[in-house]
Amino acid sequence: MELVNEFRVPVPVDAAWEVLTDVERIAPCLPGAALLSADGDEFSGVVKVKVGPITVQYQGKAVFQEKDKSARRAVIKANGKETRGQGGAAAVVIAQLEEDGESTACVLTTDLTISGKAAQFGRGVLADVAGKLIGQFADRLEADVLSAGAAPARSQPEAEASRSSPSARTESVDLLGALAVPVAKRVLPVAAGLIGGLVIGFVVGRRS
Amino acid sequence: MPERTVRLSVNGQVGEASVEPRLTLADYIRERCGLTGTHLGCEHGACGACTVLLDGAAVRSCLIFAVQADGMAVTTVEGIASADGQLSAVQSALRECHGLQCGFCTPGFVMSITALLRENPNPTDQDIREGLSGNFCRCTGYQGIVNAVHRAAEMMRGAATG
Amino acid sequence: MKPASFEYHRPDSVDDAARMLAEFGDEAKVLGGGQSLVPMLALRLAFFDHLIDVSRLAELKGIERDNGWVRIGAGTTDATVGADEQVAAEVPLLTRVTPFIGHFQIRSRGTLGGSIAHADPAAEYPAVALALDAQMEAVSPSGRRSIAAADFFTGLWETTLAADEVLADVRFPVWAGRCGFGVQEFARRHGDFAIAGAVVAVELDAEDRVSRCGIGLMGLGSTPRRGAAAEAAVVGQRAAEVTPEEIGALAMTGLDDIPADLQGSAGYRTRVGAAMVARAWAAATTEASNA
Repeated sequence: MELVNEFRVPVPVDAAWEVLTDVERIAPCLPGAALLSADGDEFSGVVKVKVGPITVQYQGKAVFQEKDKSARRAVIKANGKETRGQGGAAAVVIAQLEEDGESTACVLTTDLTISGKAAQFGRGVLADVAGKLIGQFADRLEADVLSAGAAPARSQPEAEASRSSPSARTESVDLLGALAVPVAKRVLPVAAGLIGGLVIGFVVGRRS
Repeated sequence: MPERTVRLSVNGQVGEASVEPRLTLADYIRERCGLTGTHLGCEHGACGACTVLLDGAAVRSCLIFAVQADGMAVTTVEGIASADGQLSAVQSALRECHGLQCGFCTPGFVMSITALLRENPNPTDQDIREGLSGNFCRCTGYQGIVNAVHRAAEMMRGAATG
Repeated sequence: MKPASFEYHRPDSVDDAARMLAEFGDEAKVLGGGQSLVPMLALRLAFFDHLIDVSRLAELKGIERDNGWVRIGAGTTDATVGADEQVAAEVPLLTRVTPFIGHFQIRSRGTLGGSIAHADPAAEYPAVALALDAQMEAVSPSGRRSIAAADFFTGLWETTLAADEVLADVRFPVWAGRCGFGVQEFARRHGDFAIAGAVVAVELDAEDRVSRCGIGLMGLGSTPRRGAAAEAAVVGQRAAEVTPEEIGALAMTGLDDIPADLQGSAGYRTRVGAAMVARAWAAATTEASNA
């Protein structure tokens, strides 16, 4: 199934690109996730998701298949197996950053395949869960980015990023926490048109 | 995980055992007490094959942990016939009205019908079908079972007045 | 299938239970009747290292009048609620909805508080609590607080109960005056979760005008929902001038996350939901106008 999510970060697009492609920096921002190893564009980790009393934990790998800095587009392929069960999850995520003045909008288009216990949930629940995860991710990312000091300069991609060591703890996501101001918006798959619109807007914006 | 001691009365006999907390009452009855009349159909509360009486109330023994029933009284299908082996009205009626074929669901039905007739000694067809909606039978098509409930009620009324 | 291992605790009091929840945190869960939790454990959809059994706590059981409310202990079984005469007289929606809860064997163990804390969107008691603006009372190591039903249900199987809170009581307001109540639920088999269902409470004034109306919806979202648009539209109108179909349709507006699954599409659920509201409304207004 296809899920589309969007979030914003209050930094210019170049800085956003550097942060978002720095896996070790963003992994702690993903709720319920722990990074186990990072090796160039490949990383492995564990994600624990809770929906009410139900918990599903996946362990797996993700890899940057494409990282196009000039187009601000990245493609991540991820898959994982349930740690307590026979199921798994596989996703291809296309991340597109778009400049929005001093902020950046990021649109994630995810092609998700789920098997095992989580597959019993309807599309609505999975989209809801994804939306909340992304919302919490964006909140934490924003807090992280802001706490890193003054707005990072465009021309210094690597320098100011505070590197936190890969976290070994696995806290479970309590999706309840996403009640706080949602930065992310959940967008329905009809947004194929929206993405097209964003791309066009991006291109047009860049030209002028 | 540490085991706990439980003390339960099953069909009038008190027994004590050391169990893992996750042992269900159904498994306790079947494995610790050797009473395999209580059956496991779905193990998640839908089919009714595991129905027993707990302090007189019909319950799903697959959804109760033995440790929760500590100090309580369980009645299983083995405790329904009288001590000399005479079948209860519900059991006789099921036999008489062809209310069973393979017999897998039957203990659950016996317990549920016994409980139902205690509450409502004169049930209508609808009362019966609604009341027994939590017991599944794959063989009979239910009509024989419904007939058996009516017959059992009749027998019990007869015994009461007789 | 069998549940994964856990440690079993039987606290002596609600305060003790709350203390244990605080101590064990994420790895602990309250066990009441177990009719929703144990299947999840058995199917290994849920795992907890500690189960805190509150099913025997006398202080969680009981039904009593409390000014204009009926206070029901969270550990009171569905069977007890359904058979209680005071509840039948003062909160009839609870009595009428109880036979729809699973099967009588489930109702022997399942509890009112358990159903509300578990917060299944298709469950009966949460919808009644929402429709009647009940108050949930929760106990934690830091004390007791009251949560309005409108603020309680936040998502699929999620409530605003904190991780160290035990639901202790639920208070339902008594509707006095010319009141009527209706319950309609549709499921393929008796006892299944509702595909769509409605509970309606209505009060009429002396001229048969609606003075207040509460519509609770089951199975039409990730939480129980209110038919708010319908309620707003109908207040002040004469009951006879509102057709049930209109009310049914209105109640479906504003529902933005109607489930679509093997049981039915969102469109199907919407049609069924509208019909359930219409019928429950008709029953409730008939009862109220005869009151």
